[in-house]
Amino acid sequence: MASVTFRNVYKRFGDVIAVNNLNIEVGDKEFLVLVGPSGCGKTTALRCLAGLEEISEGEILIGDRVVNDVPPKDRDIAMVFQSYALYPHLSVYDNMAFGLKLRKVPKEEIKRRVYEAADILGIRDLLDRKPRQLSGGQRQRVAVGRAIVREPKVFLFDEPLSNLDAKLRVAMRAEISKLHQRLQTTFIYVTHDQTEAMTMATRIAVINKGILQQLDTPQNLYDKPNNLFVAGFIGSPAMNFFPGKLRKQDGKLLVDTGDFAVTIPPSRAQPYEAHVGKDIIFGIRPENVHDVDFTPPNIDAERVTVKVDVTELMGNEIFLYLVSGRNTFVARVDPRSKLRIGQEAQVAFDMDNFHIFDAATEQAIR
Amino acid sequence: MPKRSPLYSVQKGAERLAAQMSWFAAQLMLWVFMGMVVFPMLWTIFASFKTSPEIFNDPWGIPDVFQFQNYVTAWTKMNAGTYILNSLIVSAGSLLLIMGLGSMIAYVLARYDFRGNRFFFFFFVSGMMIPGYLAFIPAWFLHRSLGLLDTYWSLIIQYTAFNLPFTVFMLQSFFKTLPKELEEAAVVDGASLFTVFWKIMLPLSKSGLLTVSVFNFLGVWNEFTWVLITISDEKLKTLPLGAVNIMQQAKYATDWGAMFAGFVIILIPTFAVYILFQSKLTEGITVGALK
Repeated sequence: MASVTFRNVYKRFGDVIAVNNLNIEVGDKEFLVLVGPSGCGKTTALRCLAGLEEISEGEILIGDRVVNDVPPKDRDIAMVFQSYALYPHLSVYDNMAFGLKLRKVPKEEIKRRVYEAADILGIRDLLDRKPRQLSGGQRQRVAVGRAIVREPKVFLFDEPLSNLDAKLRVAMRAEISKLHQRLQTTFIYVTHDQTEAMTMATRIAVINKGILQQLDTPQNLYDKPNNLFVAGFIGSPAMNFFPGKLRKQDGKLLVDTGDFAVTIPPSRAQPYEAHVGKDIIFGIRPENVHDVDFTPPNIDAERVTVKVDVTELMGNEIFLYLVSGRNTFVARVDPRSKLRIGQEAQVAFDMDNFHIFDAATEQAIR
Repeated sequence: MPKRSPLYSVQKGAERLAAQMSWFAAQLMLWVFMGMVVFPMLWTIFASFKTSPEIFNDPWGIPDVFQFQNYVTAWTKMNAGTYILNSLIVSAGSLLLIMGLGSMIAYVLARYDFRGNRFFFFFFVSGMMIPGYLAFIPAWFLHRSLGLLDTYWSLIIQYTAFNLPFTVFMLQSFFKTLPKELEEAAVVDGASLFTVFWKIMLPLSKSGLLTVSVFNFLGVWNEFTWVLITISDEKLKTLPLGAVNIMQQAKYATDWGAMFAGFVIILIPTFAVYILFQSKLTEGITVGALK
C-alpha cells in the first residue's frame, strides 16, 4: 500500500514527447485509471512508473521514495500486461510462483499464497496446466494471480481486458473492481476504453498527446469536463458539438449555430456575458436531447427543427441520428418515440445541461 | 446465376490442366531430389557389405552375401573405440562453447540497443563469408605459436570460431521473434538480466537452439581437413581420419568394403541425432518464418 506521485515527468523518444509534464498524485488505496486515445502516452507513463522506461525529466515517487533510479524489481510493484505475458513453458502454478521463488520466499509460504490467489480468482483446478491450454479469460486471471501473490504496494494494469470478448470484459471489469475492494491496495489502470474508466475508477486521469487534460472523479469528468477533448472523450455516444457564436437579442443570450439558435436560461447566462460575439462551441450530451412528445417536465427546453437520418433501436432507448443544416448529431430518446427515418420533426434541447467551450482555446467557459 | 462466357468451361479446363501440370512437376522434382539424396547413401550401405572385388565387378547390385566381417575389420583397423571417444570429446566441447557463447552473443545483439550493435552483428555474420580453407593456413600458424597443435583444444577452438557466425546469425533472428513482454514481466517479477536469459529466454528457444546445435554437430562431427593438418598424434584423431587409416594401412591393397563400413559407422551418430530430433528440427526451421 502506497501513494504514487508523478512530479513534472517528461518522457521523450527522440523528438517525440510521449509524456509531457505529467503531474499526478495517486492516493493510497486509490483506483486511478489513465485513459486516452491510443498513442496518447498513458501506457508510457505506466511503464515509466514500472521502471521499464527511464523518464527524461522529473520525479516519480512510490510512497515517499523517489524511484527514478530504482530497478523495477525493487519498486515493489506488480504489473498485468495487455498480452498477459505468461511464461509459456511454465505451469500456471510456476507462473504465479516465479516472482516469489526469485525473492527466495519459503516454499510453504509460496504454496499458501498461490493457493489463496487461485481461490480468489477461481483457477485452483488450472494450476497444473500450461498457458496454451487456457482460454483468454483464464489466462487473464492467471496474469492477475501472478500479480496478487507478490502482495505489492502498487498494482499496474496495462489494458488487461482489451484482448477479451465483450461479455467477458464486462464480467472481468466487475471482478477487478471487487479485487480492489478486497486487496485495499493502490491500483493504477491504463485503458483506452472510457466505459472501463468510468465503471472502475475512483478517479480518472484523461490524457491526450502526452498532456494530462483533467484529473477528477468519473462523475465530475462527465458533468464538468474542463475542455473540448475531455467532453468528447468521456461518454458514449459522445457529446454533440455545434460551432457557433454567442449573440445578445432582446436582452437574452443566444447560441447561434447558423442553422438554429437556442436561448441560454438567464439563470445560467452570467459566465458567458463576456464572450458575446465570439466563436464558441456549444456542447450537449445525447441524453439531453429529447423527442418533444416525451420531454421530461420542469426542464428549460429549447426546440430545434431536425430531419431524422438514422434510428437505432436499443430496446430500452433509441439513438436518433439527426440533421439540422450542416450539423449532424445524436439524441438518446425514449423508446416510445415515434420518430422515423426521413421525418421532419422537432427535438427539445435541455438547456439545464449544456456546455460551452471557447472555440480558440477549447477550454470550457464556466 | 451470372451468365458465363462460352469460353468459361474451356478456361476452367485449362486452369485445371495447369494445376495438374504444376503438381506433377513438383512431384517429379521431389522424387528426383530424393533419389539424389537417398541413392548414394544406399550405395554406400550396400558397398559396405560387399567384398572389394564385388564392389568393382558389380558396383550397382545388392551384395551376394552380406559381409559383416567388413564392419569388424573397419572397427579394429579404424581404431574406432579411440576415435569415437575423441570425436565425442571434440564435438561435445565445441558444441558447449559454440552454443554457450553463441546464444549469449545472439541474445545481447537481438535484445539490447547499444552503440555498435549493428557493427558486431555484421562482424559476426561476415565470418560466414570467409571460406574455411582460406583461413586454415594462418590459423595453423597461430595454433602452432600458441602450442595448441596436437591437442583437443586446437580442434575445439577452431570449430567454435568457425561455427559462431552461423550460430549467432540464426539465434539472433530467433530471439527477435520472442515477445518482449515476457522479459519485461520477468524483470518486474524480480529477475536479473541473467535470470531472464537463463530461465525465460533459453527455455523458450529450445527448438531454435536444438536446430542450430544439430547443424553444428553435423559440421563438427564430419570435419576432416582441419583435423588432418593439426592432429598427427594417433591417440587424438577423430573418426573421419580413422576412415582414411583403413585405406592407408593397406597401402595398395585397400579393403574397400571395410572402408565403406567405416563410413557407415561414422554416419550412424549423425543419423541418430537427426531421427531423434527430426520433429523439433523442422519446427525450429519454420518457427522464424511463421512466427
